[in-house]
Amino acid sequence: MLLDDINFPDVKYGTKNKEDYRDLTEAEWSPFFGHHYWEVFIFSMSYAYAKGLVPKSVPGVGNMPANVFQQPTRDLMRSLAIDHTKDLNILKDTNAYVKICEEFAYVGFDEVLKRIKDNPSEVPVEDILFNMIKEVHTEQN
Amino acid sequence: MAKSIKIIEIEIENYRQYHGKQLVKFPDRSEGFSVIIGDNGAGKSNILNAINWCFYQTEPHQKKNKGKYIINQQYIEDLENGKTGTMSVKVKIKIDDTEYHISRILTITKNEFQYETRLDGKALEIENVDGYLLPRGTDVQQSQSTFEIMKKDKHESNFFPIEGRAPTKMNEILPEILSPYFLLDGEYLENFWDDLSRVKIGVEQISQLNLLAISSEHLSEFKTSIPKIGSRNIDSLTTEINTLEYWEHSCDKDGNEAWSKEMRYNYDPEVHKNENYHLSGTRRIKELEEDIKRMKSRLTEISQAFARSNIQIVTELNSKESKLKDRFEDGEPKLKDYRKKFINSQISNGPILFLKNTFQTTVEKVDALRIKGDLPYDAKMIFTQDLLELNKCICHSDLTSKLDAKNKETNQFRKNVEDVRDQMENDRGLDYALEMANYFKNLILNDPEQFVSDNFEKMENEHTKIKKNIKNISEELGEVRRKLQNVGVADIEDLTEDHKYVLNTMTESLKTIDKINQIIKDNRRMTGELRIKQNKLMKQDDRAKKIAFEQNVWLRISDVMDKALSSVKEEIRSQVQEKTFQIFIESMYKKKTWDRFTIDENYSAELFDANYIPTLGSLSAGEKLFLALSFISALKDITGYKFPLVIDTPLGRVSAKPRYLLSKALPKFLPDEQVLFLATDTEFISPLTDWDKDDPNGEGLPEISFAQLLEKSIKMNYWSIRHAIDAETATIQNYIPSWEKKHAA
Repeated sequence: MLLDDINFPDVKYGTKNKEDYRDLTEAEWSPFFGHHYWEVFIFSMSYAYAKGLVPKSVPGVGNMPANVFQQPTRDLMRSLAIDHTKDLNILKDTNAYVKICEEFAYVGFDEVLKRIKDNPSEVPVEDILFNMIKEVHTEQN
Repeated sequence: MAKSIKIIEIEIENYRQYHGKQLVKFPDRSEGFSVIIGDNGAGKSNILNAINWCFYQTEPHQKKNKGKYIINQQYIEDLENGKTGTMSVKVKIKIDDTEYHISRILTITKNEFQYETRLDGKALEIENVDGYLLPRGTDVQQSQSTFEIMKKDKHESNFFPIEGRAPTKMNEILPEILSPYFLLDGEYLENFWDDLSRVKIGVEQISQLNLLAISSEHLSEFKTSIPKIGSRNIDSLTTEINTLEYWEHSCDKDGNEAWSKEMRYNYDPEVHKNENYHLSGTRRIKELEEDIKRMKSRLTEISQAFARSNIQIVTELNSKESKLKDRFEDGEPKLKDYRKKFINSQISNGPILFLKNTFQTTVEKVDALRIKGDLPYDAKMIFTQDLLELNKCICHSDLTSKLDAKNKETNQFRKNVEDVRDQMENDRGLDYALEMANYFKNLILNDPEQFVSDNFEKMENEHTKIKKNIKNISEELGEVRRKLQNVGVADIEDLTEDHKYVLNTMTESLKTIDKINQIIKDNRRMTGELRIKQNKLMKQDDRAKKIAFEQNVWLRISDVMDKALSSVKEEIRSQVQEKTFQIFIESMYKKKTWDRFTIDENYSAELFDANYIPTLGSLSAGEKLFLALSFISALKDITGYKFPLVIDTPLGRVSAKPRYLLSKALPKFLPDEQVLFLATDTEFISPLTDWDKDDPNGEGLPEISFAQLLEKSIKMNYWSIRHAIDAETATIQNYIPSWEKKHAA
């Protein structure tokens, strides 16, 4: 177990996104319907990173409690921070790597939200995120 | 007296599609048949309507005129506001040696048109003006229309107006009731046999038997109306006799026609005189018998509809539908579940795929430190601690602790090793990176393709498969439901209800007939007894004796008239029935199928097959048309009444073989009659190609058009209606069929 586990902070997704996070997890038209905020956060964060979006600092609050982020999820966040800083030592500064992740999630969320809201009615809901995944997968290859 | 009627010319001006003046002069019968070719909706039926409107101010064929005004749209739109315009139909006919010029003109004034605003733009408002559908803002002048009949006798050179009321005269020249016998449409001919009154009108009116029938009815009134004599006993007997005889003739106590309050079966205002049955007696029986005949036809229709519905197929389809519905209902939640699973996988595994490269970086960094020996820090720290405990470094330096008075380490070697140990305490946290690297390797890096395949591709395939399966079930279900509708499942309940209703009504009607017949029989017996009593009393009274004598004279005349009428009617009926069958059989190809055609005294017609099974209800469209034409030809032949035939869409539903036979039969059985066809290009000009349907053995019948087939035995004269759909304008022009053009070239 990492020493920083007890220091893992609450995670910010931005005050302005609060309603949209709620919509995405509560509306049937959203693929995140029935899911948690942290899942929207991780998807947005990783998508933004994969797409090479420029991170933005997160204004305001809108916190998710630390305990909703389980170990495997935290590993994803750590890995992103390592790659972003090219330094394994970032692992020693929990607040720093969480902040990096918040900034990517913040910028990625706008894209994810746009893709979901602008989805043409003929494209089924199960294809929205899947098309984003396919896009990234193609770019990776 | 038999008449020979011919249409010389028709002039249509601004009537419905016809823009401007359109004049068609018809050739003599000696110059052949005529045909006006036009597309569907071009205005063929409106030629029939134009003639009807001119003669009788009616337009019987209104199917395609719904919402359209009677005056040409282009013409009325081009007319300036405040100006008057006219629309007219003029028909010149010849009856024996006398020519008639019959014209009807509608004059209108155009004012400012009014439009209504709709969501899709502006639309012209239409209203009923004096019985005509016209744009709002149009006034009809001169009370509906001007109707005029001019006449020119054989030795006159000019037309002169006829005396008397024009509509009455028109009915004398060509009774409106006979118009369906010369202004025909294919649909009417096909349904000809559904209505008894058509056969009756045909036989009685065309042969002018109706005049005899009317005389006989008048005489019957004399026969039954015995005046009061003054003797209480005789008068009371007369009243009793009258009451009984009035009952038989459905009359009230004053001898006026009496009606019940019971509605007739499927009352049709165009066919039936009254919507209720007569109150009693023979008139009521006659109506009931007519209606029973119609009920029988309806029962045949219902059984045909049942046959089309095919209960067995319906049952099979129902069972299939139920199974498919179950499969669909099972599949829907399955699809929903799998869709959820697929999305869940995207949400949890998408980020893993997105961050695949970052995992790679992490693993590389961790591996580099591990190879260097910096990882795990935990091991390195234990090793350093061991050196400090042994007081000896691997470089053999002495690490023994040397503390000063302030308890501070003075051995620099030991101090250095202790600093390294403390630094590693900080880095111990990085040891977790090893676990993390292993986790990433196992998660995706060892086999990224497998990861993509397991978490996305296989799921996508399975999801598509389930979706496709549900779609197939849904399509199959839709198809089964469509089939069910086509076989009439939706109507089965209605049909069953209708069948029950008709059957009950028919049973009740038969019972009523029996009951009335019994009463008539009893009444006649009583009347006979009363008359004997009356005669005895009358013989004792001089005045009564004289009246009784007169009464007997009327009685005898009436009987003679009745017998004459019945005998002539019988003769004509039997001649028409034989001639109809002769023409029908000679022109039909299934000669051996039918044995006889009958028209009974109630004018109920039937065609029996060789096993004496009635077949009229099950004839094909072509066969029904043939039989109707045979009947009309027979009537013309027997009565000598020669009238022109204008037949609209004669071959709409007639297949190749009957068309071929018709082409041979028509010139033969209508040797002196003027015939004008109003036909589509397809039915008249296009080659007949569907021989296989009627000629499975392939007898090699010619693939040429109906018109060419007719041309083999008679000259044909052609016109065509050219029309622009948008502008609603049509003109009638001479026409040369393609084969004539080739011939000319």
